[in-house]
Amino acid sequence: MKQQSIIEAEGLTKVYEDGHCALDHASFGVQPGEVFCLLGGNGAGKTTAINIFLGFLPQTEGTARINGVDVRTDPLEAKKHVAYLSDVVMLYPNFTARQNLDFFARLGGKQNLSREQYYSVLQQVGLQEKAYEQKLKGFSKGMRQKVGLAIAIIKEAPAIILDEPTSGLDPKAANEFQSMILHLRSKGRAILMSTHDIFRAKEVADTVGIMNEGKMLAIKSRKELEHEDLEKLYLNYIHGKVAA
Amino acid sequence: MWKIIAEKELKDHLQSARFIVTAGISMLLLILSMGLGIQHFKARIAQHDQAIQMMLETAAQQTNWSTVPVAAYRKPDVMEVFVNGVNSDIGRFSEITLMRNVRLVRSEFSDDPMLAVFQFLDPTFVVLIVLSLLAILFTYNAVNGEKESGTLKLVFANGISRAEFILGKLTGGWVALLVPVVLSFMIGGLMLILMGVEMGAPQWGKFGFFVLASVLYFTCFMLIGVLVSSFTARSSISFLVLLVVWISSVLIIPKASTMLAGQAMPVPTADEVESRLASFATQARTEYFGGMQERWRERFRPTEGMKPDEATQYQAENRPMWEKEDNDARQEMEKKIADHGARVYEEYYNQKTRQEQLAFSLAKMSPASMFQLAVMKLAGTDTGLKRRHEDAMKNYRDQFMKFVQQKGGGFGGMRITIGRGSGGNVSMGGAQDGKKIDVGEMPRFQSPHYTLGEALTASLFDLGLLAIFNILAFIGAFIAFLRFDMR
Repeated sequence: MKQQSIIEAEGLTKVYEDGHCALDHASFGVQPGEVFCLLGGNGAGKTTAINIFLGFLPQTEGTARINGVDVRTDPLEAKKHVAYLSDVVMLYPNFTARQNLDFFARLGGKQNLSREQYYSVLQQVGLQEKAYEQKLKGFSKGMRQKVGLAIAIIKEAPAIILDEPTSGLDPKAANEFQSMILHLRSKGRAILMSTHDIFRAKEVADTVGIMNEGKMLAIKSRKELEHEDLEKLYLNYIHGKVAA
Repeated sequence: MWKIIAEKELKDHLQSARFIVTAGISMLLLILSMGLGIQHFKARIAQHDQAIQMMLETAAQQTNWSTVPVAAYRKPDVMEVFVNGVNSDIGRFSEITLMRNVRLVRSEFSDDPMLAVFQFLDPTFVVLIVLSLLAILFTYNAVNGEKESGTLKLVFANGISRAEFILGKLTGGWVALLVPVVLSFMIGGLMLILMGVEMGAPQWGKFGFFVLASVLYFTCFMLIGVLVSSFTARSSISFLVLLVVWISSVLIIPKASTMLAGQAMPVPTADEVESRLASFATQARTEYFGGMQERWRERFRPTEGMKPDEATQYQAENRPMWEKEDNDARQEMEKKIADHGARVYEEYYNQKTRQEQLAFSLAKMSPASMFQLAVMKLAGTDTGLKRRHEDAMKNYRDQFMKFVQQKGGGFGGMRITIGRGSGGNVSMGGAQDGKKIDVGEMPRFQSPHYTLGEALTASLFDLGLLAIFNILAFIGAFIAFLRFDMR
């Protein structure tokens, strides 16, 4: 029996004032314990969809819901149920990893967590112990990304949105990050991840949504992709060789 | 939620090297400027007391009040420590004579032009330049910087409203800036006590309002910083914009306003006014002496053909009447000069006041000018300082003249005696019994009192404008952030 989607888009459309359509009636859903990858190049509409879910951009048409809460009508309530991580995770360089975590945890409604609880989450994402109380200004992108993921984890939100999270990471860091995503999936989180990395999408995704020029061209499950070459399929879709 | 943001903002600033260095420099400069100001004030007090002492010692050697060299010295005020204002531009004393109008001469800058070149490092300068720059440095990337670093999206991925965020951001940043400023002024206050500077309740009150004005001023730049940061997408652009805003506010608008007002309402210089007065006085005296010559000629005409004894008797009989005539003529000449001087000065001051009002009104487009004008009026080192002292000195001159006349001398007591056979005799003053004068009797000049009430009344408008500017900048920053594109 299919569960209710935690992250849900129905005919989501965004048309800018200049007439440019960034998102064209996109519909999809992410269920608990599922990793949904929005796959597409630049301008495909992945980030637009994410921006709508986070309330940074109002949609022109359609509905976006997180845990059943409409992000348009009750954005603050909707955002209580989602954790977010972007490709640019500079965080606060004058704060230590633990202080960054503490700030975002409190924003996410987690008050009075102990130092040990923070350390436990930082350990969980694989950050070296000596870095817990170090300022972030000396951190590599991989290390900052781990802190970012810790921020997403500590919120204990049922939905997690990741915008190009492995972009700019070295292969080792990207692999570690991928393991963490899979770990979160095993904990029952609904994960929506945008990427243009076909290899990464195939590795981690339970469902892949192929996007191009604002349109959701296809949604393929892991099972459907098992015997397919995703790269070929993706290129065929965006070149219109396969009917959407 | 806003408290969490405010706390984060405060911690973020306090832990940053940028804050430690810049706040440290600001504190150092503020404390140093107050320390130097206190030392300079004490030296000026000592110079003032010494000058008066020397004047009294010289006076004590005189036997005639009319020959006593009198000067009125401007007493330094402790508020100069915080706001030097025009203090160093205007003279420190004026000679008190009948022949010349009261005019403050020998300013610190005229005595030491080097000071005029670099001016004083007083707390007002530090607040005006350093704190405003510091406020910009801390806020130029307040909003767009968070967008660039990706933290804005991370923050707003939580259940926080924009209003809560900007309120927390402003509060935290403001408190972070407030800490070094208030701490510096507290240390400055302590230094005043420890260095033995006498401060009465009115002075402490003025000091308190000076701190308030300083806080309002840097808050203004902080809010402008957040406003510009919310309007621009990149922090490098907002920094450039703010730099232009700062240069315009602090350096260009005040100077340009003065120049524009000067062009729009030209006013003769003080030297031109003096020259016009001197020319009028010379003409009046020439007429007076010409008239006197004519009178004497007429007076001697009946003695022609008289025997010397008869002539001497005739002169002796008529001398009281002649002296009265001469005295009346002289008083009329003096009144004519004084009336003309009063008219010219009134006209000059009226023109000057109108020009100042125009310059200051134009300058008030800039918060820097609002701050400067407010604190100068609070401290009494504004453009009115010269007028207040010159008015008090004019009153003192009248008081002193009356005193000298009562003592039987006076600048008006010049007596010229010309007699046939007896030769000419010119004498000054009255009794000349060879006894030295008692300087203890001499009236002393009292610097005009500038009360806290007067200071507040004078500065309230500018302080109010600064407060309104803050409110507008706050509303602007708030609205700009509500419309900020967070993507």
